[in-house]
Amino acid sequence: MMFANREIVTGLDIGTSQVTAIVAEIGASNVPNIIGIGQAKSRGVRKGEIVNADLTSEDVRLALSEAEQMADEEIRSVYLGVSGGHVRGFINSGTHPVVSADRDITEDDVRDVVRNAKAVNLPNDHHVIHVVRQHFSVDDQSGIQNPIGLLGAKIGVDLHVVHGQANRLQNSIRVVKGLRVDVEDVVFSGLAGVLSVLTPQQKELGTLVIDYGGGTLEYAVCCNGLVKHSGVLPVGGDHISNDLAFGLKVPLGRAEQLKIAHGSALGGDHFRGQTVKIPDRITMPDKTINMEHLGRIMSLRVSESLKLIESELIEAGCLDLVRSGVVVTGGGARIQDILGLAEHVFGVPASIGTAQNVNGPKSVLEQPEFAVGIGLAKFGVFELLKQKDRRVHNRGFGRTIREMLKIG
Amino acid sequence: MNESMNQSAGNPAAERQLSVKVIGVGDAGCRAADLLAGEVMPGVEFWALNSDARGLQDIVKAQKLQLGQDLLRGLSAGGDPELGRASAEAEQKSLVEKFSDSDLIIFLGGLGGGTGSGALPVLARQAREVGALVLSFVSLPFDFEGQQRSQRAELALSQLLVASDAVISLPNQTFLEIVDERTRLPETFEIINRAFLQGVRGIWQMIEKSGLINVSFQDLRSVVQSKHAKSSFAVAEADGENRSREVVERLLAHPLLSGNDQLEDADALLVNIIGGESLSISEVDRIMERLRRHAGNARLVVGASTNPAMGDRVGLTLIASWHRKTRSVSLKIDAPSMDEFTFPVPIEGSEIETSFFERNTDFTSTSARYTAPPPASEDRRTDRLFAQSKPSFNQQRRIKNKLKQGMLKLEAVSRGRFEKSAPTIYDGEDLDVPTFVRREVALN
Repeated sequence: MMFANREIVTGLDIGTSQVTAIVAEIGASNVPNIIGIGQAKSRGVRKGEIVNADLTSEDVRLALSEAEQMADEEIRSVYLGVSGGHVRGFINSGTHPVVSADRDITEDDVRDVVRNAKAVNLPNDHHVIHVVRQHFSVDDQSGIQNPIGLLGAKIGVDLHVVHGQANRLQNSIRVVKGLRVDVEDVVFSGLAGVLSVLTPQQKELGTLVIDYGGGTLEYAVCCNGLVKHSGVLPVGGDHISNDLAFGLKVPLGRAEQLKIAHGSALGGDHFRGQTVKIPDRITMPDKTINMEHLGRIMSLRVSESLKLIESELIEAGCLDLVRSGVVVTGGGARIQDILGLAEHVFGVPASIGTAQNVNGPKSVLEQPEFAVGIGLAKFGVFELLKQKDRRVHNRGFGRTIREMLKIG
Repeated sequence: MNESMNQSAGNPAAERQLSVKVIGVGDAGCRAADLLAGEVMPGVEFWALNSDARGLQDIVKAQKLQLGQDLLRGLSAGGDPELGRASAEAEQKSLVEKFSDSDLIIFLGGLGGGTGSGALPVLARQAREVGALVLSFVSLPFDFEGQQRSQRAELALSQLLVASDAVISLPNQTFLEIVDERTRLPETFEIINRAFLQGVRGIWQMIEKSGLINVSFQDLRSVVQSKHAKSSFAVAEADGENRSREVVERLLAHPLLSGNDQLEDADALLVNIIGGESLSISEVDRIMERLRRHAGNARLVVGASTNPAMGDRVGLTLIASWHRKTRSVSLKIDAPSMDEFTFPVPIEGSEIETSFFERNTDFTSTSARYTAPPPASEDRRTDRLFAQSKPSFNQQRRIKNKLKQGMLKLEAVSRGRFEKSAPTIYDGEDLDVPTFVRREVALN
C-alpha cells in the first residue's frame, strides 16, 4: 500500500488513427513525469468523431490497460481530448465601465468585464469547452496583463472561446464512462498540443502549432504567452490515403502503406520518371505505381490543407502573429518534406514538435504522435497542482489555459 | 418598321417591349389583380374579370370587364362552375381580341367558387390559342371551406393544368402555417394576396430588362411552354452578414415548398434574386450554389437585379415546376369524380406513381394520352400493389435527398472511405473529394 498515495493523472486522446493514453505523476520540482503509455489502433473514429462506439470503447480499453500495466497503477479518471469538425474557436470581447469614484480598477471590475466577455452567443446545442483570457485593455491602452490597481474609466478584455456541439462531445465522454473511468475534464486537443510542445519563448514570440492527425487538423496560434486563436479542420491523413487509393487505383490499406513508405509533401516533379512496384495478390504481375502521380496527389492534398489553415488564420487576423515558427505534431509530422512545405506556406521556420518540460522515456517524448496525449497529461498535472495549491489562486476566473501556460 | 416604331415609342432605345397582361378572374382574382395594379410595373396591363357586377365595383385600379352580362345579368355565378364557364364562353370574341397582342398572360384566381373555377380554364385555353404564354396563379380553398369546394377546386386545377403552360397553386391551408393564432381573417387574405403579388412581381422582375443577370422572355418560355407544369413558389428575404445563407435557408423552410425535398424532383427552377445596391456577384453565386445542391437535375433559370429600395436586404423568389406531375400533393385519391377510373396494373413499382397520377391530373385528356386501356384490377389487388410500391418510392426519395454537390460528377466514386460520413463542406467544396479531382489536375 505504499504507493496508494502516489497521485497520477492520465491523458486520453481518442484519435482517428490511434488511441493514446499517457499516465503521468508529479515529479521533482513539479515537472510532470511520464510513467506509463498505452496505444491502440483506433477503429471507430472518422474525422475526429466517434462513429462506432463499441469499437472505440474496446480500443480505449486496450490503450488504458496497456498504460495501467506500464505505470503499475490503476487509472480511475482521465483528462479527455476532444476534437472534430464541430469544434470552433473565436474571439469575444467585453467591456465594462469603471464605476468607483476614484476610477481605481478593483477585482470586482475585472470580474465584471470577464463576465461580460463570457456572454457569448452560441447555438443552443453548443457547449463552451474553453475560455482563454487575453490581455486587458484600459481606456484603449491595450496589452495590460493585470489591471487591478490601475486607473481608468473603461476596461475591456478579449476572450478566446472554444466551443463544440454538446452531443458530439458527450459521445466520447460516454465511451470513457462506459468503461467505469471518470472524465475529470475535457480539453480541446489543439490546445493540449500547444501545452505539450511549445517552449515559453515560442509562446511569447508567436508560434503556430499544427496537429496533423489522421482525421483532423487542429491548429492554434500562441503569441505573447497567450493562445490567440485555435480551430479544427476535419481533414487529415486519412484523406491523403483516400486520395491515393482513388488516384492510383489501389486498395485503401495499400495506399496507406504507399503514403508512409514513399509519400512526400513536395510535388511530383521530384519523382519524375520514377516508379515503384507493389506486389498484388489478385493480378499476378506486380502493379507498378507512378511515383510522380503519387507525389502530385499527395502534395496537392497536403498543401491544400495547410493553405486552408492559412486562410483561416487570415480570416481571424492571426497570420501576422506567427513570427517565430510553425510546429507540426501528430502523425502527419512524419510526412516527408512537410516542414519544407509548411515553411513555404507560412514563411517562417518549421519544426517537428517534441514534448517540452516533461520527464519520461525519450522514445515517447520525441514522437510527434504523442504530443496531444502528453499535453493532456500535462494539463492534468497542472490541475492537480492547482488543487493542491488552492490558496494562491483567485477563484472567479475558473480554469484558464493562460494560467497553465504561465506555469509551463 | 412603322409598327415596331410605334410599339417602342415610350422607350426608343429598347426593342419591342413585351406585352404582359395580368388578369384576375373571379372575386379572389380581381382583388389580387387590383392590389397588383397599385404596383409600378411598366408595360403590364391589369384586368379584373368577374361575372358579379357588385364585386367589380370595388375594383379601383385595374381595368374591368364583366363576364356573361347577358347570361347572368350581373349576378355572381353562385358557386356553379358551369355558369362560370358559360359566362366566359359568352365573351369569347371580345376576349380573343384583348388577348391577341399579348406575349405573356398571367391569370390570377381562386379555385373552388363559380367564376374562378369555371371561367379560368376556358380563358387560359383561349389565351394560349392566340399564342400567348399562359401562367396561372391560383389559390386552393382552406380545408374548412368543405369537401365540395375543395373537390371543385381540384377538378378545376386539373383542367387548368391542361389549359395553361404552367399553374402555380397556392393552397390556402398552407398559409395557416405562416400566420399565427391570432391573425384575423382579413389579414390572412391580405397575406394571401401579397403572395400573389410577390409571385407576379418576381416573374416580372425576372423578365424585365434591367437586371444584373437578365432572364429573357424566351428563357421563361422555353422552360414552361407546353409543359403543363404544376408549380409551387416561395419568397424569402434576409439581411445581415450571412444573408446569402439565411435567405436560402428561409426559402427552403417556406411552407409553400413543403420541405425542400420537393425541390429534388423539380424539373425546372426559376430563381429571381433581388438585392440592394450592395448585392455582389459572389453573393448571387453563393445563393445559386446552395440552391443547386438542393435542386437535383432541375433546369435553372436565374435572374438577379438590384433595387435601391431593398437596402441591406436580399430577396429570393423561387418558382419550382414539376412537369411529370408525380407529386401532385393536392389531388386526393378518394375524390368521387375519380370513381369511374380503374387503376392500371403496374408492371414495375415506379410506374404506378406516374401513370396513376397522370390519370388524375390530366383528367380531361386521358383519352388522348392513353391509347391502350389498362386492364381492370380488383380493389384488393390494387391496394396490395400500392402497398408494395410505397417503400420503393420512399427509397428512391431517400437516395435523392442526400446532399448533392452539383459541381462534382465524380462524387459517388471518389469519396471512398468517407462515403458514409457527412461531407466536409468548406467554402462550397467537399474536402472529402480528392484535391486533384477538384483541381482537375490530370494524371496522364
